[in-house]
Amino acid sequence: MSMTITEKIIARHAGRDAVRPGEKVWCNVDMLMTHDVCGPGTIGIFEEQFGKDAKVFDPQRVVILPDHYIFTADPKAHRNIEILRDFAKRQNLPYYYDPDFMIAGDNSVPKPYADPRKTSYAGVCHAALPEKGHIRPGELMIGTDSHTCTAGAFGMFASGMGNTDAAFILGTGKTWLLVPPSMKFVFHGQVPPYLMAKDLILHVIGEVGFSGATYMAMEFAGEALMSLNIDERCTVPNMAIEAGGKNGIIAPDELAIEYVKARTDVPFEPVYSDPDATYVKVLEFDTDKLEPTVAMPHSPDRRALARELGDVTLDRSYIGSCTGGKLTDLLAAAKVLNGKTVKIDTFIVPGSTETDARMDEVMVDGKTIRQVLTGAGCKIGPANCAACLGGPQDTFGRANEPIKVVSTTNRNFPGRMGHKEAGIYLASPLTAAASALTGKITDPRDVVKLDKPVGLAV
Amino acid sequence: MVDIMNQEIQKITGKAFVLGDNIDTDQIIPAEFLSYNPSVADERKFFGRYAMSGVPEAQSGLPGGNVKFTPEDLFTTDFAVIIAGRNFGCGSSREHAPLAIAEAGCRFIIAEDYARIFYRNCINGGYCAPLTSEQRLVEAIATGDEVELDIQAGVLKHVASGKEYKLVPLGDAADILDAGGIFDYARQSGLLK
Repeated sequence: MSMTITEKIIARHAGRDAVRPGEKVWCNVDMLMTHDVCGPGTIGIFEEQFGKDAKVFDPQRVVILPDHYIFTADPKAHRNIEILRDFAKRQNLPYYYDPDFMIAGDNSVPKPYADPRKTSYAGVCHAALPEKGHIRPGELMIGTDSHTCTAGAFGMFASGMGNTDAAFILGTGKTWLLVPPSMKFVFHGQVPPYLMAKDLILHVIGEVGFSGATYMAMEFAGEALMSLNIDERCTVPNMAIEAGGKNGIIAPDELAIEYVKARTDVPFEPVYSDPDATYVKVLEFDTDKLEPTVAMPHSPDRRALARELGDVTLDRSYIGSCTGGKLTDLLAAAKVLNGKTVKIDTFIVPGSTETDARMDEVMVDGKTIRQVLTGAGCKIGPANCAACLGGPQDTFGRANEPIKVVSTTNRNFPGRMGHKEAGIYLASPLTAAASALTGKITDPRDVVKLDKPVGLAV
Repeated sequence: MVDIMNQEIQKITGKAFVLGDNIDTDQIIPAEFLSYNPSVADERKFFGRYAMSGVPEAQSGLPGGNVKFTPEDLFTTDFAVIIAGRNFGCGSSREHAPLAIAEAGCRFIIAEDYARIFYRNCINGGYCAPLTSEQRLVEAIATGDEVELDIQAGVLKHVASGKEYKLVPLGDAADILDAGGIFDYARQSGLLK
């Protein structure tokens, strides 16, 4: 029986030869991920249901990455880190990435890590999970975060759930899933130099609508997509949830498999869609013809082209998060801003401590990414979720006023970055950096000439 | 019959709170309140206080707007049923969203359709019944209107006009909602001891 990659992973984890869309099956979970916002509630339910002394189903299969409310003076946020520390210690969890610069009992805004290479803290969970070797093709991961679907870039089934589901998994290693029907999105041709993966996924979301893929698996393919590096590929399934998708997934090629093998010794077995697998819908795109794309306030499916929005005056540019703060994203910003000065407040937030470290290694015209961005007048913060989801009032880059922001993050619902009346325009790092130079939404073609895509796989 | 927060409920009458489309979980419970820990009783009640506080004023309680779901300085709402349009509960996976609605004392939502994670959280956590209307009700019912919800019959009645609206039967997850959530379901069906 022919199946898609998503159906094959679910079947394997349900102990079945085959599954069909719409079936409800119980699955074994390979990895459970949680963070500081949902971890404490998950732990609370776990201990209430299984007992204070209960042990997690498998310490090797639990990953905790504090990342949301780290650089804040909110005392409850500090208390939540203590809950995670205590749980990780009592449960002997090997994969707890402690923000070791947070001092117990000191509720002021923590002084960030002095050296991103010398901290146990990893940064935003979705950016750090693959870097730390927790993502493996063919496996099944559940996380208490809707952007858990990012890991689909490596051919993994990865989906977000709530605290109760996570607590159930912590105790049993199992979860129930409705097998999703699959939609396929194929990017043909070549990626033009001025486009990034963000443009591709914003185009898709505009095409299918904010709930066009609800309950579905979104499978992404095509030679244009596969010409991109790992950073860029992660941007695409990251935003599957913005169309309502249960998961986003890309068949793992040699590049993805080599990336994973370089970071883990755990054996894994990739699976692939059968050529005659069934899709409820197949959408094909001529990538050469796509243009820099923006999602207007207040929904990720309000699609427009950057060049159509030249009269939108901006107050801020924000380049960061799991989806828009990867090394390739910051390199793209540096290529645009090199030797220039930003016209509006521009905030840079690396997605992970690894990316933060590499900002001092990767060069643009003889300068490091950090030197270029600092020289252009950007404010650079430490790796964390920061203002992508607003967060506490003192969060770096938070929109505390009804301002207009161009942002490389993944959501622009009312209040997402703070103020309810703030207008968030989602765009690629190239577009966000170009707009930082002019103070208006700007097509990157107007300010920079690139000879190839920034995120081309080498 | 549904078992919500350990109460078996067949029929309720109360006031409706009406919202539009695409109400995401940041509007249901803004991120700045997520540092409250729902497992601490004294903190959990704050989710009721701030439920729906992220909805822009003009859209908060249609058609007129400017209605607070939970009145200022209180922890519970007078509204018994939320009526909404498309894609209710989209966005973040935070379980704090259905928990906030339930904590405010509202246990029923009737929308045209739901985002996947929110729907699942409602049911698995046993917080709210995420019911689906056969037709769009956002323009048919106004905030504050008295409605009568018969879960057994799958009918919502607008009391003043006497008009009745059909609900779509609960699908695959009905057995979990009936049991009161995933843990109760798993125990009743022998999956958990």
